[in-house]
Amino acid sequence: MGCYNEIDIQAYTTGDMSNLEGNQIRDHLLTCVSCRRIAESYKVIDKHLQAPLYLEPPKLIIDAVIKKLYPRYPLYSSITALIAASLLFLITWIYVYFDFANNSLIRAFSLSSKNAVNWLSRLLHTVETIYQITQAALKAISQVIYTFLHVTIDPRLIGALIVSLFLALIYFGYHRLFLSLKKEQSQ
Amino acid sequence: MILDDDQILIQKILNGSKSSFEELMRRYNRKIFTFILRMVRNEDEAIELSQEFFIKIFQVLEKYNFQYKFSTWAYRICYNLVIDHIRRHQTPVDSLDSGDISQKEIMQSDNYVKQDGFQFHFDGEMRTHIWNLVDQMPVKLKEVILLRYLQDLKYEEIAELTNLPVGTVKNRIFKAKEILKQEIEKHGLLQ
Repeated sequence: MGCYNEIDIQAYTTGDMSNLEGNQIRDHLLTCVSCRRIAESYKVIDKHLQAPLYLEPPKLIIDAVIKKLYPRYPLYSSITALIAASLLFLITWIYVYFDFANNSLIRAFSLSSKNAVNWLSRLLHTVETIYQITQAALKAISQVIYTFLHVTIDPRLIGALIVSLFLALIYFGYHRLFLSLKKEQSQ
Repeated sequence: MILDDDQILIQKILNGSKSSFEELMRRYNRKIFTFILRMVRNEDEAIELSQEFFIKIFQVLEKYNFQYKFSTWAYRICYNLVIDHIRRHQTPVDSLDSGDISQKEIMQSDNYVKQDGFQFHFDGEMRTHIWNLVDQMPVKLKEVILLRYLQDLKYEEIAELTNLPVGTVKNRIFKAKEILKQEIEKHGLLQ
């Protein structure tokens, strides 16, 4: 029987042919030196191809992908700012509700600002002014309601409601902003 | 349904686990990077494409069908990404749309660089030489060799991935190996 072509010999070495054909080629290889040499060559090539040379990827691939897909938010600073803002509103709320008539908080800020160092004095004075404006505004709103509706509503109650509303808005606003940022980054 | 290791990781990723995605990337990073680098032969482009691949995987992971093997699905995405890239940056010699590839055409290809006739005495060197020759082959031959031996895909899977008939895939692999044999014979390495 004549020699086989290289495609058949290759197929034999990789087991890509039927048993019958494979047996025929195997028998032929026993007697044909040149075909056997070809088969040996392909076996060597196949052996080396089946043990591929992998190249080591740089670490920056995973790092860059993670950075892009899971960005770090300035969570701690945002939460700190949120807590500070909430505390300020809470103090205002307590002031409005419990200290409105006595004005002791305003007086305390006023006294402290006179004795404090320069920058702290300015800060305390600003807070004192905010409370004075808040107090005046709430009294004015209460007066307006009385003028038009002939209903007396305690300015403290109005103040407590407004401050509570602000507090809720801060929380929901922050939550929505955080979610939208996260969604935008993951897209 | 019984899930394999990859699919368990995917479920965790879909539930928001960052560490599972890192683990999945570590599993495939070497294979994917090697495949891409051997295809595009430019390290910067390979790094960029590897990143693009993983981001793409993350973005379309929700569409993954758990009935199929993740690796095959991922390799398809990788293959399409690389082929698109090569098409955008192809030289006339690299053309993916030309017909059959002759031996002469391969030897004339810009991708084909003849090696000096070193004598290789060790298996490691022979392996390096063979894989260097694979790198220098035209895309049409190289892609089937890489998919078959680097990604360990079956002929049928390669055919599905490349949209080629199984017979053509086999022929290209035979052709590529024939060239490898001739080249290493020329250097006296198979005697």
